[in-house]
Amino acid sequence: MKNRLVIFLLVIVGCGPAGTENAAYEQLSRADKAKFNKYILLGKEIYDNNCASCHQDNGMGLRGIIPPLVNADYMKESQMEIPCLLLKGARDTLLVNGRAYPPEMPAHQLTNLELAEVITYINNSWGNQLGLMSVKKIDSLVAICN
Amino acid sequence: MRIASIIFLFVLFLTASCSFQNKESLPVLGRHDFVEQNDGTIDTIFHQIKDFSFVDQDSVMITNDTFANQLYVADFFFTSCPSICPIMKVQLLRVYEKYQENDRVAILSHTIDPEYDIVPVLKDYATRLEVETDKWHFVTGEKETIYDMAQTSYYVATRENAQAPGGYEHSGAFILVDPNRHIRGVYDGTDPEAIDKLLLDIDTLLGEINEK
Repeated sequence: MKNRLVIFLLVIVGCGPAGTENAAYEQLSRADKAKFNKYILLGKEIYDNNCASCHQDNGMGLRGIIPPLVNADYMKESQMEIPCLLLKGARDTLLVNGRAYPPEMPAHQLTNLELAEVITYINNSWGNQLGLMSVKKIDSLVAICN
Repeated sequence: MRIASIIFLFVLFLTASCSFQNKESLPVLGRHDFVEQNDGTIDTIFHQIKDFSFVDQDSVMITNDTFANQLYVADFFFTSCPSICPIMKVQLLRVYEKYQENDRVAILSHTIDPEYDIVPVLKDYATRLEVETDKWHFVTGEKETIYDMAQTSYYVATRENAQAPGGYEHSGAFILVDPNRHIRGVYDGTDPEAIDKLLLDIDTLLGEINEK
């Protein structure tokens, strides 16, 4: 209950973590801005519990062993692949910033809403400005996962 | 006025005890034996890392003698570990980078999954981590020997557990060992602040070694 109140207050004052300097955020409608801030807040918790032990709190990964999520060309160019990658795990070598990473990423049990939240969080943290990942988009992408 | 003097004395006392601590050397840790000599005096036999012989990522035999003139930080991990190992390796990289040019400091990472982590796998891991073999040895060997070393020499808990992520459970401890095979510190490898302390302790230990 207390958490919901905090989220509500954050949404009202519009001071989500990614906030004002994010160009992708500025282009959103008012309703989507509220959604964006909520996703970032809840996405951080999902990230901390599922992703941070490998990709680290700062999204930097681990040299040639675990790919970075910050300033990663894969994140920019393969947004449509990410929901299935999270759900099913990696199946092929991933090429990130010119470096090949073996398919060691495990599958994760996340709902479509949780996927939207955590991807929105990663998309807009540590300097990333990749915008909102909506549940609607996740629904359509997950429907065609192999 | 009186209170001010008391505070002043207290601060003076704290400062004095802190500077005293800085000069103090690190303790020798472990279960020590006590042996009574013929003349009635009692000698302390300090716990030592026992003899070992493992193979590193370059297929080179690594023994206690490898570290005869070095202090080293030991840990236990496995390359396919999805839980605490990446954080541990990020923290060990801090040790690696700080002492990259210092031949007196080395790192010894033991795999607890030797069936999978054979030499080429360790080599690939070290290469992807971009570290030099002579500074950071990734070793493998007989599973029983590695587990026995972990438990009886380094006091680190390791075990197979099908329920655990990756199939193994292990402590995230880093153990600081001096050239006399004594344990001089144990640190939580998943806690950046504990590693701040490890870096300070390595400096202290290097000072101690240089004095001798």
